[in-house]
Amino acid sequence: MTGARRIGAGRALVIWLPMLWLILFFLLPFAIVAHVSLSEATIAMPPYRPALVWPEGGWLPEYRGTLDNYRFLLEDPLYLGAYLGSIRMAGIATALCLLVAYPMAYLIARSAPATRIVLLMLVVLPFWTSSLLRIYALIGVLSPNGFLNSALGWLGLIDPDRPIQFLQTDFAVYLGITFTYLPLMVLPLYATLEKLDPSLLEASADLGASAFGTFWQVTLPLSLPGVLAGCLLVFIPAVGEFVIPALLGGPDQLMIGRVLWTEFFNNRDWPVASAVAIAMLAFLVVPFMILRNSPALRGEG
Amino acid sequence: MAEGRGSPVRITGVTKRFGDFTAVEDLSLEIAGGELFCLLGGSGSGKTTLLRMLAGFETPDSGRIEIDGQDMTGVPPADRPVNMMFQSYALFPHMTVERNVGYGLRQERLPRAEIAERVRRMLDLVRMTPYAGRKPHQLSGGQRQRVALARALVKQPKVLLLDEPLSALDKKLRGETQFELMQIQERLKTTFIVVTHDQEEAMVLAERIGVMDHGRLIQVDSPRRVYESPKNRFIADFIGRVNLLAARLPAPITAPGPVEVEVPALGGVIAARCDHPPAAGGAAWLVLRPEMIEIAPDPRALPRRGRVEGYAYFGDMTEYRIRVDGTDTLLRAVRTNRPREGEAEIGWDSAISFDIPAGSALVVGE
Repeated sequence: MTGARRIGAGRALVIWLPMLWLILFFLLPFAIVAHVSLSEATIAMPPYRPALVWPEGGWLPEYRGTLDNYRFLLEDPLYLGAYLGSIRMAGIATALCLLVAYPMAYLIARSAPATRIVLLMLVVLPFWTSSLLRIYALIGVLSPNGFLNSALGWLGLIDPDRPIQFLQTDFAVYLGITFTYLPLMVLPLYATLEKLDPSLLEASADLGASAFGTFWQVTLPLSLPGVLAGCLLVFIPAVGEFVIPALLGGPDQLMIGRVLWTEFFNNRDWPVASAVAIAMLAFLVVPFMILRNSPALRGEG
Repeated sequence: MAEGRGSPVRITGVTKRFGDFTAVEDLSLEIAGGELFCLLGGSGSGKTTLLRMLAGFETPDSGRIEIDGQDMTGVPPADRPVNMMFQSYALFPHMTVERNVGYGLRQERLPRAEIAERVRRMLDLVRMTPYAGRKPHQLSGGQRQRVALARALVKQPKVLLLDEPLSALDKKLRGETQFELMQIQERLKTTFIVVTHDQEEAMVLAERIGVMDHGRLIQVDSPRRVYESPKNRFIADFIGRVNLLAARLPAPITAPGPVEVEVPALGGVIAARCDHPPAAGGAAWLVLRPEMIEIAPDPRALPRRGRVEGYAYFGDMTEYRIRVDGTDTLLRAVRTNRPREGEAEIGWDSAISFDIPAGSALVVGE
């Protein structure tokens, strides 16, 4: 035995530091939120009656929680509507992202190595500025006397005195999400497309496939792991997105991020807000668990 | 099988450059229908570029390629009556063996039943029927090679292009696969054009070999002619084991036939023959194959003397390094290993005698 099973101090640190981080900043807050979601709302400080109570002198906590908050989510159509609205919004934005990102990633993967680095930099560069700043810039572009309307007016496509209402529309939200999350889609797509063996494409052409046939039968199926990874990276944060719909969307758009905000800050109903958050997590985690076991995502396609 | 005879290929004055690098230079070649032709050359010799031009992946800068009498200029790979077997096999990793083999037929939108039938026959031919449902990553190297062959043959191409078809296989498997490839070619009578850097592979497979160097075709001949009658020093050196010795010509050689040349490295005149006279005034070389040298352990049995400075035992034969008496020359000589009655063993530092029979060595130019 040469101490193969003994874990050195350095190795323990490497393993436990991220673990500790996750416990402290993910698992613990999650437990707190889950706990609050099972509690009853009350007018107090904090504004809920804990679900777990330690009796005087006792060791084990006593459970006095309730599932009422979840039941409430199911009963009031507002919440289901908000969930579906968010999923629809995130779904459309993800699809737009994919449509824009795929040709970009393809082009980058096919260009000369020196050009590739420059193009990848250009894709990542917007990420270096604050996303809030970028959204405000987008407001500047989309506003009634903003860049887009001026350009359209100058081209004579619209009457400059009657600009198109871009802000406070679904379009603006899709644009904002696509714009913000694009690098998250381009990078995984690029990674899979770059690994694609060019001789496969030649073999396909040699066997009589058209350029589109080759794309459809070879390139696309083999890039599916990248497509799935990119879609998850965009879709999951987009569902809970609060800032972009709040700044660019209209007041009639019901999204779960906004509902959460209202419950927590306006209604001060922490238990319902927590239940909304936990339900959203469940909404996202369950499909991901299913996808994770699909062969395409594991790259065996 | 219903496959007809393969088609002839005619390459006329083809040149291809990549920037400053000339990959193929003014190359002309005719390959007969149904022939198994090997393009042999080292890396950078232009053989793969030529093959890729035949497939349509590269466009010649000048010259023309005809397949079955049809000019291929401007014809994209998908529309050429040729198929290619790639060096890496390029099997589609997301498709089963069956789907891979049927890929080319599906592009033609043939009826399902016909595709299934032709795929089945092709899998039978390469003995891969039991593996029809497997994916490429579940196959061994040899099996992948056979799938790649089946996929390239299923469209009944007039010409099959094979890029280093056996290089990814281990040595033993390579031998078996070589014969299998030849049998299939014999049966289908498709024109096969094989690119390889392995001269042994080219010798075994080909009816004719085209040896390439620096984008030019140097010699096109049967394997036997290429080995026994190489056109110049490069080919003599590239193909097989050889002793290359500088020779001095008493007078320029004008016609093929027996010649006497002075070879300083052997300390005298050698009676050789010449098939391809060297350019007048150019260098001349004596090509002496190791198996042409006769060796005897008795230092007085044969006219020339030497000393064994090393040997390598190969089982079927032994290669000796012989220092020629009175010179610095080290000659390679091989002798088959069979029992020789009453003969002393040749070992390290043995004084031996040897002979170069008249006409067994060849004179070539640079």
